[in-house]
Amino acid sequence: MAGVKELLATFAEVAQNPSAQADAYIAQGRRIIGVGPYYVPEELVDAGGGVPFGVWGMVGPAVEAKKYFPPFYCSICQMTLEMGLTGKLDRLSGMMITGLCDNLRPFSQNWSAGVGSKIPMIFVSQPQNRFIPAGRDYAVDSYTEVKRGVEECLGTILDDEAITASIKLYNEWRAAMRAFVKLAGQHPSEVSVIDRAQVINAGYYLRKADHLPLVKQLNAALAALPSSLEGYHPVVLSGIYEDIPAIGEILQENKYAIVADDLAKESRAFAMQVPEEGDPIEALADGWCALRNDSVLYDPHKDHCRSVPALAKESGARGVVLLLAKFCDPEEYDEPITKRECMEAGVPIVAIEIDQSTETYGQARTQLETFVELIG
Amino acid sequence: MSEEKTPAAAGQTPPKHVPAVLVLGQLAEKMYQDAYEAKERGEKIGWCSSNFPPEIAETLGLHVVYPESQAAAISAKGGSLPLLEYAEGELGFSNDLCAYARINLAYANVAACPNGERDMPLPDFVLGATSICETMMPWYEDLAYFLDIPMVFIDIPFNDGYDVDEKRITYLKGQFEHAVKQLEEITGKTWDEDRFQEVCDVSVASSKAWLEATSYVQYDPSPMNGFDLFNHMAVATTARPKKEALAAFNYLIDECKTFVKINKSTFKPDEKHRILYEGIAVWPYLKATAGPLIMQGVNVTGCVYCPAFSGVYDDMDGLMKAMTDVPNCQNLERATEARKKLCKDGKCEGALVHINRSCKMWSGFMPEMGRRIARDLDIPVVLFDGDQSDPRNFSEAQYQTRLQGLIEVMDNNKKGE
Repeated sequence: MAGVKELLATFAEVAQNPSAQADAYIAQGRRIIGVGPYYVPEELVDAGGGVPFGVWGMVGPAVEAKKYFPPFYCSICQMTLEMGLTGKLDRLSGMMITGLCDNLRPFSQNWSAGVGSKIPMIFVSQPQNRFIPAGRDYAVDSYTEVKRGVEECLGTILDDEAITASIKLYNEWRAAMRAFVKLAGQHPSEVSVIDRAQVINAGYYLRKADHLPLVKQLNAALAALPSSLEGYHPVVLSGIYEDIPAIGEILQENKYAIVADDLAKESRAFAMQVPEEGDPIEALADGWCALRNDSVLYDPHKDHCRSVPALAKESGARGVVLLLAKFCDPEEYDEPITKRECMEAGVPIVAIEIDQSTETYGQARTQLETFVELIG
Repeated sequence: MSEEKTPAAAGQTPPKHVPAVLVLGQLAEKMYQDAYEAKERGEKIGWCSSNFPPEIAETLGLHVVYPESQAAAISAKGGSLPLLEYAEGELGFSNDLCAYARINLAYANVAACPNGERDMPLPDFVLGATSICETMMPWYEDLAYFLDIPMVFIDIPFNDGYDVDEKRITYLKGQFEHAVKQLEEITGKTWDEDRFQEVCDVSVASSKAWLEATSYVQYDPSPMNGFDLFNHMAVATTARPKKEALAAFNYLIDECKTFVKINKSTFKPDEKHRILYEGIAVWPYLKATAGPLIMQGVNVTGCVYCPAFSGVYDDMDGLMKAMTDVPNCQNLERATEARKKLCKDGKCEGALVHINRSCKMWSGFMPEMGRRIARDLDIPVVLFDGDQSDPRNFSEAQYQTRLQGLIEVMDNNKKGE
């Protein structure tokens, strides 16, 4: 069995070369469909033999995208559009986009206008009122349409058996990722902050059938090792995403250990479990309707904000680092309440503003250096 | 219909005309007073987002007030900045968020305007809906959290298609029924189907009257200053299921008809140019934005925002469709077609587009829409940066420069005719 270092090198190679991975799949005769945030039912792509390929923007400046977006939009949307407009996503046969926030809604239209003729959009409309039968029915109808869109992009017909098999695979993968997050948190000496992000990011570029065995191996290797948490500063990361290299480096240099996370691109995505029985489209809808504790979802009691300090306590974190994605409305509406709930629970919290187009993080460095002293 | 009369024959003293703008203003004011009185009586009152169907509260006999209208009024009276600063400083909200939301979240915590600009009673429940933006959802969640009151929510997903499809209608109907049940439980009121029908009849009649009134701005020359519509729309937003609103809109229609007949207008100078104004008004700078238009004879004869707050339907399915088919919930193609029609109907020679820092949904595909309008109609389209309520996000100099550019192109186009 490969050791931790060898496995981490494999994940890093994939995470750092998504285009090479896409080329490899295309060489196998597979079609690739881009998958944006959040909770896209990508099991459908997998079931059709396609490759769901995570596209959450990239670090860099928006230039072409500024012809479509005014400046005050989240960088995930701006940079994904930039990638589409500059040919970086030309390998895609389709792009799945949701409408869950006021960045994503116009993004979908800008994508259609600027890139759609080359890479068609599959719009994934998800109901926010998930607790009533009408919401579930809407999700079923919508996912049925998404299935058709995926079939057209892949040039195939999806059968129920294949979708159910993909649901099982994804459930197993998500469980393995949850296990990985816990194990990585206990082994910061073996799995650095940047390593951890690369393991997760590789899952956005590999088919789950290819990523899962590697994650299982890594989990097994880590489970066999004693915890190396001593001397590190255990925290929960909250927010949408963390994979800004400068932020990873600062966290790493200051010996932060991410013992749990509440990131949309990470543990919030891994939290979903889809029923494995019955009609698979209904099962996917049920998986969506069962989601909780997320800033982008309807949350009438602000349970998400309360769940952050609870997660910190449960995971043994000494504080919460809230990576606030610039111009992300759902996160910005939750931020003051999450801070309040953390303070009431006696959990220290610091908010760091991040953006894929920000060039320097001097202020973030100071904040994180101060915070590490505070939490000890 | 109102008692509005055309000027009497020579020799008679015509009855003194009360401008429609005052009549509508009084009605908007009454909505707040009624809510205060209901609260005094011990009734539960609500805060309601502009695209939550007003027919529900009216049928149940509930008094609701509208945070968006309040925020606009506070901003127009110059009172927004202290509340914005409170939201950012005391409450910790990012200044990237919608300024209406920041003003309202501050108000929910302090319960008073800085100088009494537009006070309203605190709510016992909130009614949120998302057709015009997703922001309504977390904003109203936060209100429910701070005030520890229940939230009733109707999710109206963005429509990526051109027409409103069946699954959306079914979803909205299910939510509509659920919202009624929730409100019955919260307030102890009982739903009456006959009353609902009456309310719908008035609401549709009001909407038709409002749309007819707004259509008069398209006459050439226009009987009204298109910017006036921003003042009138508070009633369209908040009161359209009320008979008083229907009467007020009919009064406005009569005023418009009269002005057309006697060649009079609330737009004082000669109309040199006619434009489409896209987006919400820059409320803290109404004079600074409307003034240069009036000074240079530019009238707004196409206004997207104002007719947005109406609902014309024949049945329950139609009501659901009307709730979805509103600006900001339409895809780029449908939204562009709607603007092009407004430009054609209003004989607009150009378009002035407000890139509103507060409204991501409204501004997010404006550059592309502007290009399409300019290309398809061969008219100049100019964008300016502003904010519906945050006075820190508007530059008078930039506005004037952009407007000047627009006027010059329109002048040149006219000369070339």
